[in-house]
Amino acid sequence: MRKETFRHLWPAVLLLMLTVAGAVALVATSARFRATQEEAMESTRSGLSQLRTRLAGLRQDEQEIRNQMALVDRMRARGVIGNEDRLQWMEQLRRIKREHGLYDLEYEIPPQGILAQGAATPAAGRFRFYSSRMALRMDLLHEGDLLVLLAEFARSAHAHVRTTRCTIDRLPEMGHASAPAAQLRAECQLELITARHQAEERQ
Amino acid sequence: MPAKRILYFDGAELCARLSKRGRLQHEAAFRDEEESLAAFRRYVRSHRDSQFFLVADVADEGFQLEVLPHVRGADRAALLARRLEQHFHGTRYQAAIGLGRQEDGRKDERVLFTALTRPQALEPWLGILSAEKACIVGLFTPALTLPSLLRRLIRQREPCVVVCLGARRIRHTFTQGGELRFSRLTPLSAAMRSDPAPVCAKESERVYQYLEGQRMIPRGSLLPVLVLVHSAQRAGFEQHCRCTAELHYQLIDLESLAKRVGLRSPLSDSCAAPLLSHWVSRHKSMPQLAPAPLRRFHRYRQLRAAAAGIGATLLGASTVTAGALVREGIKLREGTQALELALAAETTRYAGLSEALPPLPLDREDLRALARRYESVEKDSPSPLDLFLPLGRALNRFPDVEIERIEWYASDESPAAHDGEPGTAAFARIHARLPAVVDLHRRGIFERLDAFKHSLNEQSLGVVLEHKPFDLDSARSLRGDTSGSGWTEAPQFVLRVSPRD
Repeated sequence: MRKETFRHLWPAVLLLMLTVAGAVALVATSARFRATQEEAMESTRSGLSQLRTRLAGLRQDEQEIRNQMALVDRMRARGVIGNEDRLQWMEQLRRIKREHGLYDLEYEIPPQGILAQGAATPAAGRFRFYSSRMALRMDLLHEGDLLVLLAEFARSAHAHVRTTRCTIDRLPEMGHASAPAAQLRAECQLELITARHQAEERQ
Repeated sequence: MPAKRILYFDGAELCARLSKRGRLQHEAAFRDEEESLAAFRRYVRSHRDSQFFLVADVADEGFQLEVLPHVRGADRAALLARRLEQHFHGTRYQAAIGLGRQEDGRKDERVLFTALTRPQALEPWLGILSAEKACIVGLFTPALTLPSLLRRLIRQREPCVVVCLGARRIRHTFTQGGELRFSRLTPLSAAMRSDPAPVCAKESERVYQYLEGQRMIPRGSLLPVLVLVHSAQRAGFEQHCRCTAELHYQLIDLESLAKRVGLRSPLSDSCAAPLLSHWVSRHKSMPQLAPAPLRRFHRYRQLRAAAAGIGATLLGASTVTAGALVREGIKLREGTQALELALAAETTRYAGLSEALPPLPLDREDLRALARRYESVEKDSPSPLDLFLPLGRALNRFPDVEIERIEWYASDESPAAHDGEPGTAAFARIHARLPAVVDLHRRGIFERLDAFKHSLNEQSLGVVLEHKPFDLDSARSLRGDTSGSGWTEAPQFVLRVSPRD
């Protein structure tokens, strides 16, 4: 009876198994197709989202870039970027003294060092900021001469000039001098700041 | 769909009918003779793919009603098989019909055992069918068929007798609550066949007496008798089957009943065989008497059909599912294509914006870092001019204040400020004095000093008196006189001045 049962049923069972296999394969294939399309869509959507974020950032960046480039151009024009030019600084001091009729001045510049920075100071990327401190001594007719010197030197020196301290003392009266005598003596500390790219340093 | 063929055996003749769309088509009649049996074999062989429904309308039918303990599963099957063997030994055409459980007591099960007690009459036919591997759906009897056929009519009547006629017999079937109890076949002689109504009435009385004697009905109760009769013979039955105190006859129109159950072939007389054949072919799930081995080819066909049905359903479902998945996939692909178009457009826009940017002299990050650092350097570069200008304006109003020394600092050099925080306020320390000719009163000096401080405040400068002209602190010494001769030395003081926020 079992043989007879097998004989009568095996084609149907085989067909059923093939049908099940076919059905499973059909569903699996179509599910795979759908999954693939979904992955592609997600990938494209993600790429589009990222691009749109970059686009929005670029639009924002554009103005920032223009501003920053203008600043860098100004730095270059002023000689802040590059090696410091101490000869130029000396020439400017002489010129200012001559043009504004100032008394002689003395200056001393120790070796250059790295510009100090605090914990909250922004990093400079691959640029390094340097500082040369200048000690300046001069006699003045009035404090306006000092202000003219500092302003003119800050404008013309090939560096960013930062005044860190100034002391103005009144000089004792010289009695009846033939020429106007200095009334004040000024001693100032200046910081001349420049910046250089690390690649330029290695060269 | 395989063809349905009903083989109606009345003990002498086997009539083969084909059932098709509610119509019965008589195909052949066979007798238990050698030639006829051979013809039957050929008939079966030529229609081997058909489903064969056997109806045995014979007198040799036994019924036994029992109440058995309620068991389940294999125990129940074994109990029923044992009881069947006890009641109907010698025949394999038997069945146990469960009639439900009693409502009280142990709630035992009521079972009707029934069988064909003379199986030899069927052996030639079933032997041929089995040898030809024909698909036997079941072996039915009119007694087993009538309750379901007349369910609506007999359920309300408890109990009742159903009378149906054959070509050469009349059958009385007793039911209670719509369930079969027993059936009795009375042959009709040739003379009685033309007018079976008197036989019907007489046999109905006998059946009543039997039932009364067996206490299957209360003594003297009124028993409904439903007679299936053709309209052509109705008058004769109305004449002979008259209601009495014990029997209440109701004539059921056979043609109307046939129409109601979907039999479209016309009926020519009161023979119920066509109606029973039609009903059997439509309702396979009725009780039947063929043993499982005889029905095995039908079972194989059912299994093959089930497998095909499952396969087709599975294939259909998977096709629908696959179709839905593919449709979704196509929609997703269309969505992806739209996104790709948008991506291309945005890429073009991005490229255009990038090209519109001036060429960067530096890497973007270097540019940003350099600019930000330099901005902080610029922010951290106060000028002495910021303090000197307002100081000068204040001094213009106080020419008597003589400045001896000005110390200007870009930031507070106290230890707390050594971390070089940007924007630390610049300040100046002013060493000054008032002339010695100022009013001798100390109070006047302080008033003058306060006025000077107030003038500095007006220039938006914050002022702190670091060193007073003279110390009035109670912890220190104080020296002076009241002569009012003036100061020999100009009172000196030190102010710390810084921009006010």
